[in-house]
Amino acid sequence: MANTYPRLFVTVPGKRRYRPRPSSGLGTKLVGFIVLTMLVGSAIGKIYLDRQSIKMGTTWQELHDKLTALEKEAENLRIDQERLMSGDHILGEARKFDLRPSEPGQVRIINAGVASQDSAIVALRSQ
Amino acid sequence: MNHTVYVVRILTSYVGMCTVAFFLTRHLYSIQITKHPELYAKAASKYTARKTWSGTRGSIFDRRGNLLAGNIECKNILADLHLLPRDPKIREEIIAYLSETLSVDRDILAFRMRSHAREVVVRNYVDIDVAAIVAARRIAGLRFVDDQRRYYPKDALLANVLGFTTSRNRGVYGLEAIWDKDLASKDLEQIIERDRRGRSLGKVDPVKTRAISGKSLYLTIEEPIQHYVEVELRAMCEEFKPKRAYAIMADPRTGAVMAMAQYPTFNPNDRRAIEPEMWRVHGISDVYDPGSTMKCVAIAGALDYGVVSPDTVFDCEDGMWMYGRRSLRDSGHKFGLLTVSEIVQKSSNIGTAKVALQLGKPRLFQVFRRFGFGETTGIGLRHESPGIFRKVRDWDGLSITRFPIGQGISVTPVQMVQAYGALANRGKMMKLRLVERLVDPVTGDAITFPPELKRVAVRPPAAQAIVEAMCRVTAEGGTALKAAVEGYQVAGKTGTAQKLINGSYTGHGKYVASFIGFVPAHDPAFVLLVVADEPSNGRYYGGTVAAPTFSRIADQVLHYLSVPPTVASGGEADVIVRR
Repeated sequence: MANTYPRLFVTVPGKRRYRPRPSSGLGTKLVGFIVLTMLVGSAIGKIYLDRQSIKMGTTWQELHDKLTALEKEAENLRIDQERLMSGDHILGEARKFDLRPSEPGQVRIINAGVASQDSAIVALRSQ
Repeated sequence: MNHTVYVVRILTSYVGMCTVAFFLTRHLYSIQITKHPELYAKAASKYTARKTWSGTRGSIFDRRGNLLAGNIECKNILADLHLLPRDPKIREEIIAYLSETLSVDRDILAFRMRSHAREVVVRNYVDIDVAAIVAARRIAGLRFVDDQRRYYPKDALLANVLGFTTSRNRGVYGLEAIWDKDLASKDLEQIIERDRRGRSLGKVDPVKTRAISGKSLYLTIEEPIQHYVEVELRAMCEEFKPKRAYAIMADPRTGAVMAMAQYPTFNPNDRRAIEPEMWRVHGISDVYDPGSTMKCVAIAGALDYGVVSPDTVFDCEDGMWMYGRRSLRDSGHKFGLLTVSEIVQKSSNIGTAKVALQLGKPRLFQVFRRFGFGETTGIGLRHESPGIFRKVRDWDGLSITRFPIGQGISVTPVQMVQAYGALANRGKMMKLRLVERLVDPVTGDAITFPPELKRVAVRPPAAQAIVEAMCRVTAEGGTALKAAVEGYQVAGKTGTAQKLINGSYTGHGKYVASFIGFVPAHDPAFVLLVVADEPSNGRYYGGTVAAPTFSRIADQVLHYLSVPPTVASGGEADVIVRR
C-alpha cells in the first residue's frame, strides 16, 4: 500500500539535512511531577486547613462558652457581694457581736488639718 | 472511503459529546440557577444553626455605684415527656422529687406531666445551685435552659422608687417602668456554622453580644443614707404605729434626692407578698394637709414683699381670735405679743394668719405658686400629684387665714421638700431629681442630668431671715427641741395637722405629724422631711413623733457626710477628724 501521508522531512539539495533530536521525555516528566505534586499538596493543604479551621472554631466556641460562664458567675458574685454589703445585713451581723450604731452626739467630727489633728482632738476632749 | 469513515466517526463523537454536554449543562443550570435557593437552604441547614443571644437588662446603681437592681443568672427546667421514664411508678418518684426540691405544688406538676405536649415547664427561674443539684440526679428528659431574672440585692431598700419588672424583665412600676426603654436589653439572632458533628463554630463578636445589653442607671440616692432613713422610719413606725409614714431627703443646692423612704413597703424579690397599696410612692402621690410647716412659706413671702420684718410685733390674742365669724386658736397656748420670729418659733396660728392678712390674697397666692404648690415637681416618677391648691378666685373668706397655717391646702411630701429646699438654698428653688446619669456599659457614653434651677422663690434676705427664725424652733422655747442635733444648728418646723375626714377637721382625733428642716442651718447638707400619717399610740405632735426621728437621721447622715459641727458642744465624745 502506497504511503499516502505527506512526507515531513524533505532533503533539500545543497542544504544540511535537518532532523530534530529525539526527546529524552525528562522535562515533560518533571513538569508532570511538579504539577501532580502541587495538586496533591494543595488537596492535602486544603484538608489540613479545613481541619485546623474547624479545630479553631471549636476552641473559640469553648473559650467563648467559658467566658460567658465566668461572666455569669462574676455577675452572681457581684449580686452576692451587694447583698452581703447591704445595710440591713451588716446591721444584723453587727447585732450578733453586740455592736450597734453610735448614740446621737457620741461621735463628733471636727474639721482639722493633718498637723493640727492631735491638738484638735485634745482640745475637743478637754471641753 | 477511509476519509468518510473518519469523518462519520468524528461527527458521531461530536454529537454524542454535545448531547452529554447539553444534559450536563441543563443539570448544572437546574442545580445552580433554578433550584439554587431550595438546595442552598437544604445545604445551609446542615452546616448552619440559628442562635439567639439575649442581652442583659441594665442595672440600677446609687450615686456611688452601689448596686440597687441587677440580674441574677438562673435556669428554667423543662421536661421532655417523650424522654422522661414512662413507668408510672418512676415518674411518680420523679414528680415527688422535683416538687420537693423545686418547691412546686405536686398536683400541679403531676397535671403538667399528664399533658399531651411534648415539653412542659417544671419550674422557671431556678437558682443555679438548686438547678445543679437537680441536674446531678441525671433524670432523663429534663432540660436546663439558661435565663436571667431581676434581683434586688438590698431587698426592700428603695423598693417603691425602683419598682419592679415582669417575669419577662419588662419594667412595670417605678423607675424600672419609666426607664424601661433604656434599661431593656435586645435580642441578637445570628446564623452560626456547625461542623459535620453538629458542633457549633459560632464566631460571635463578644462586643456585639454586649452591645445588646441595656444601659445602666445611676441615681442621686445614696445607699447608706437611704438605709439610715429607712431604719429610723421603721423605728418610728414601731413606736407610734402610724397608718403610713414617709421621709424624703434632698440636697437643696442641687435638688438631688438623697433618700426616699416609706412605710409600709415591700420586698420586690418576694412578689407574692406585694399588695397594690404598697406599690405606690406615697411621697409623690399622697397629699396631706401640711399644718404648721406651711407657716414658714407664708411668712417668708411676707418678709420678701417687705410687709413685715422679723421684729414686727403681732398681737396673738391670748390664744383665741375671731375672724370671719369663726374662731382661730393657738392650740392650748395663750400667746400675747409676738414678733414674726417668735410666731415661727412658737408656731402661732393667729400670728401667722395676721401676717397673711397683711400680705393679702393675691400676693399670698403668688407666694404659694412661686414655692411650687399646685404643680408637680417633675421629680421623674409617674402618678405625681400636683396637690390641692385652689385658684385665688375660689378662695373663701377664711382661706387667707387657714391656708398659711396649712389647713385647706393639700400638698405632696416632695412639694414640701422642694419648697424648704428653696428656703435652705437662699431662695433658689432647684428642680428635684432622682436620676443622675444614664451610662452605656459598653461604650461608657453617659447622659447626665445636671442640677436645674427652677425659679427664685424668695430673695436671699427673706430666706436668710426665715432661716434665722426657724433655727429658734429647735432651740430653747421652740416647738421642736427633740429635732436638735448635737453640734449642729438645725433650722426646721414642726407640723401637726388634723386630717380632713368627711368634711371635718375635728372630732375624729386623726392627725398628720411632721417635721421638716435642714442642717447645718446656714450651709445645709440636706433638707429632710419626716411625716407620720395617723400616729396611733396617743401622741400626735410633730415635735414628739417626727422630730426625734429627724434628729436621729440627721445625726447619722451628718457623720456619714463628715460635716464638721457648726456649734461647740460639751460632753464626752469619740472624735472623727475630717482632713
